[in-house]
Order: sequence, then C-alpha cells, then structure tokens
Amino acid sequence: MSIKERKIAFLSVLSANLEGGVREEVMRFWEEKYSTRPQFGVSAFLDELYTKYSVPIKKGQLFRELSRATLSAGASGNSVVRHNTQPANTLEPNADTIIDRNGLLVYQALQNEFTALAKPADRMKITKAQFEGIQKQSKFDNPSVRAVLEWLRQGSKAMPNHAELGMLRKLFNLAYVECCQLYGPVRADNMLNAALQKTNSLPESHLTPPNHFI
Amino acid sequence: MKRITLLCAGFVLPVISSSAFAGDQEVTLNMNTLWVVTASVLVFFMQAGFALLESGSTRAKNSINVMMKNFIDVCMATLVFWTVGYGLMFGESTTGWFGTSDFMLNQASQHDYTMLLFQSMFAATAATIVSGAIAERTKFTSYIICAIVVTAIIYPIYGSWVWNSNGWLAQKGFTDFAGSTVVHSVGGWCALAAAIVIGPRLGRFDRTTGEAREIPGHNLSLVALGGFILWMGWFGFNAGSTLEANQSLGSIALNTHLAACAGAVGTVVYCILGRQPILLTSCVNGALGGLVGITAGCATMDPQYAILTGFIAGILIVPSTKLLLAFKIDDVVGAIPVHGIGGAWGTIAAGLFYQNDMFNAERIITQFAGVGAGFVWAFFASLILFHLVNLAIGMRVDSEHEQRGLDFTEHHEVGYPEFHQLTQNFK
Repeated sequence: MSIKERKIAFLSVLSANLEGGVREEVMRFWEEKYSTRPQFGVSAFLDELYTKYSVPIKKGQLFRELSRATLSAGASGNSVVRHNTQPANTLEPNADTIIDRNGLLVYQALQNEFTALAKPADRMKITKAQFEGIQKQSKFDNPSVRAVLEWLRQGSKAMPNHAELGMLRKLFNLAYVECCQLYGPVRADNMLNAALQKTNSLPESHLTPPNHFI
Repeated sequence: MKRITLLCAGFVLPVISSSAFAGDQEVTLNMNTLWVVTASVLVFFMQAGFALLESGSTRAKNSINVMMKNFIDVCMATLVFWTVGYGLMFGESTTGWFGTSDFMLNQASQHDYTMLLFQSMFAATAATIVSGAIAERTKFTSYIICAIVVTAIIYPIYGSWVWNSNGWLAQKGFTDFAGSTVVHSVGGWCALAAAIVIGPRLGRFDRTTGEAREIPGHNLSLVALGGFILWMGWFGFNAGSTLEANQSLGSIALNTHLAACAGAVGTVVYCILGRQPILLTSCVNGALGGLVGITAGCATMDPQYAILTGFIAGILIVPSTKLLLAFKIDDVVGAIPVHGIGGAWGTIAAGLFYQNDMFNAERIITQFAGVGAGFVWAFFASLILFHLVNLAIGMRVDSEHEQRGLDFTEHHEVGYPEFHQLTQNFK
C-alpha cells in the first residue's frame, strides 16, 4: 500500500470517529508527525496520540478501525513496507521487506505459541538451533543478525525496532526444522497450525498476519 | 458357352480371391492399429492413476506439486521421446547399444506412427515413476530436467538393448515382453538414485535412534482410486504390447489380472503372518507389485505361474520397503519396491516360468544378466545425472519451502484452500 492510500485510510477513520476540536488536533498531529513516514506501527502512533490528547473513544476500538481500514485499502499488512516499487513475486512474498515493531510483536507471539507446544526440556534446544542456524546464514547483514541474536538471548525486552522479513522467516524455519527433528513433521505441522490459529486472534495480526513469517 | 464360363471363372476367381486377401490384410492392419491406439489411451490413463496415487500419498500442502509433476512430465516425456528417445530406442542399431536413425520421426509409415504413440506412453511411465519416490521435497524445475534426461537417454538406451531387434540383450534372448525391467525397473532404479541424492524429508527419521517416522498421506481414497486406475491401464500396457489384435490378448489380460490379485493377497498374507497391520497403501502397492511383476512374462506364462509371480511380488514389497527404511532412504509412495524390486523379480520369473521351457538355466542366466545390466545402467547413469543437477541448480527445495508446502512455494496454488493457512496471503 502506498503512503497516499494509507493517508486516505487513516484520515477517513479519524474523521469518522472523532468530533470537534479533538478531531482537528488529532488530524494535525497525524499530518505533521506520521502521515509522510514510510513506516510506523499503528500501536506506536496510538500510544503517542493517547498520551498527548484525551481521545473520547477507546484505544482498542480505534486500533481495530484503523487496522480494518488499512487492510481494506488493499494491503495485507500495513506495517510491512517494501523496499522497492516492484510488485511482490507471485511465487513468494518479498523476503527483503522490513517488518516494524508491530510485526515483530506478531512474530514474537507466533514463536512463543509454537515453542509453548514443545516439551519444556526441548524449548532450549529449539532456541539453540535458531541461535546457531541464524549465525550460519550469510545472506543477512551482521548488525541485523546481531540484533536478532540479542533478541533470542534476552527475550522480548531486547526486541529490535525492525527486522528483515526473510530473516524472520529463516528464524522461524529453524525452529520448525528442529521440531521436525525432535517430533517428526506431522507433529511439527500440527504445532505450526495451532500456533498460527492462536496468533491470528491477536489484534496486531490484522496488520501483519502471522502467516507472513512461515 | 460352358467353355466361355469356365474361362471367365479361371480369370475372375483368382482376382476376387486376391482382392479378398488384400481386403483381409487391410482389415487386420486396421484392427491392429485400432487396438494399439486403444491400448495407448489406456496406458496414458495410467498417468491419472499415478497422479492420484502419489497425490493421495503426500501431505495436503504438497498435493498440487505432485499433480503438476505428473501432468508436466508426460508432456515433456512425449516431446522428448519423439525428438530423441524413439530414435535411440528403435532406430537402426549397428552396434547393439543404441539406435541412430528415426529421430524426430516424420514422413514415416502409419505403423511407425502407431508404434511411436504407444512407446511414448511407456517412456512417460518410466519418467513418472521417479516423481513419487522424491515427492514433497524436490524442486519442480530440477525434476523436469531430470525427467527429460531419463526419457531422452537413460530409458531409451536400455530399451534399445532389449526391444531393438539388434540390441545386445535381445540377441542373447532376453525376455521382457511389456517392460518389467525396461520400463519399471529402470524407473525404479532412477527413483532409488534420486531418493539417495535428495535425501529424506525433514524429520522422516529420528535423529538419535534413526527410526523411521510415519508421514501419512492426506487422502488414502485417492491412493485406492489411483491403484484401480493403474490396474485398468495395465491391461493396455501388457496386452497392447502384442502390437496386434490377436487371440493372445485374452490370456495376457487374464495373467495381468490374476497377478495383480495375487500381489495384493501376497501382501495381506505376509502382513497377517508377520502380525503387522494390513495397510491400504501396502495392499495397493502389493497389487501394483503383482502387475509390475507379470509385465515381463504375461505373454509367455501359464495362469498358475502368473499367480505365483504376482504373489511373490506382493510378498517382496513389504520387506523391501523396510530395507529401504533401514538404509534411511525415503521413498514416499514405495516406487522403488514396487517398480524396482517388483520389476526385477518379474523379469527373472519370466525366465523361470517360460511356457514349455521352464527352469532353463541358460534362459535364467540371461534374465539375470538383463536385470543386472538394467540396474547398473539406470542406477549409475541417473545417479550421475541427479548429482550433476544437484550441483548445478540444486535438487532439493529450501527447508522453508518444505515447511510451507510446495504447492504454495513452487506453484502459488494450494490444493485445499479452505484448510490452508497460507491462503490468507493470496491477492
């Protein structure tokens, strides 16, 4: 989705849900700070909005409205911003797209749901396989790999601000492969489906569907 | 008047009888052509059987990929066989090793065209055997390249040894009526080489114990239906190999049917005696093993020996499947036991139970030599081929693709969108 399409979607939601002076203030805030940004998280925008202004409707409701509007504007993921203007390869969604924090939250949830279905004793093995596997990948740049390794080591508190979709896919795949080795492909597939179903119910998944990462 | 009548009769009768004879010949030729074309259609329909059997034996996320491979390899195989394969197999062979004429056959006799049609169906069958063994993990483009080389070179060269009248095995008296070894074993050994090069599916074998894990197919009804379609097509495969509509068709078709039944029964008996579960997939493979087994000797065996051949082929399927697993070779549909082992046994059985000349040592040795030559040529030639393709473009898909399923990653389609998580990404 282009910046213009996103702008139209946001403005229509904000003008439909807010009234009077608040609407004008919020619109100005949006125009000045967010409307031209190539990428940002809806949740980050709302966090800032709600700390600065007293918005009369609930944050969750506005989040859902914005998510729905951006999705129907033609994007399968607002927070997924493509590097180039080429259309996505029909064989495979672009791996070089950048995922923002909203998407990373979805990824984290997917990964947590997936590993939660593994035996407790095996969870460390899965993380270890991811840790070792991602270091062997030469196609990703070093700072990104280091950031992801830190994330793996420290958990959600060290979550990076953004990451390449291809790297996240590889990271998840390393966990899947390890589960295939530990439990066989049938159980690994069941775990994957269960994790996807659970993660799909998160509000953040409206913007970045978890199946982007598999 | 009488003289005139006799004179006329003396001239006219031979003319009538010779034209009647010519008419008979034409009718016979027409009937032969009709039969071989019908048999070709039946053999072509076997591709549908292979597609269903293989697709049903794989997971839902790979079902379209398997269908695609079966669909495309028959197209590629037919074109390649017309271009190169037929000439190598049936062209003029001075050395006995391969033919050197009839490439891109055109301006030929009607008989040659009919023969080309029938034989191209056989070539497609040999190629398609490989696809089932290496399902769920093979790159589509790599598979197509391999299928082309198998149909252009590996299959026709061995075929020329046996079915070209000047072929060195044909000269020795090697018997393989409809291709237990020529088509099925060659396909089976190529499948073995491919499975070795590509390796097992993710998690097929336990990393620590080495024990095989079951990966059930997504639709066993398709497996059974595929088995029935293959069985039906086999009547064309075996009886069509007479290349003429003669009275032997009945006994050939009967032997084919008996062997298939005995093959399935053989598997069931083996499972019962071995206290193993009687699996549908094993029964279907048992029947197919019987069919592959009888293919070599269907025209030269009495029915009781056809039953014995099929029964033993059916028995051989189960232990040979286990043997492969012991070597950590992952054959998704059991193509290697059914086509490789079943074909080898059937070819030897054709020598053992040869009508009116049973247990002739010289014939049996020739049969063993032919089976051995088939293995050495097909296995090692395809092993080199698969290694080369693997080095050049890779035979195996990435583990991410294996995870997502080849339907989506190779074709951007899914067989069962209602149940597929990935379809949410579709635009």
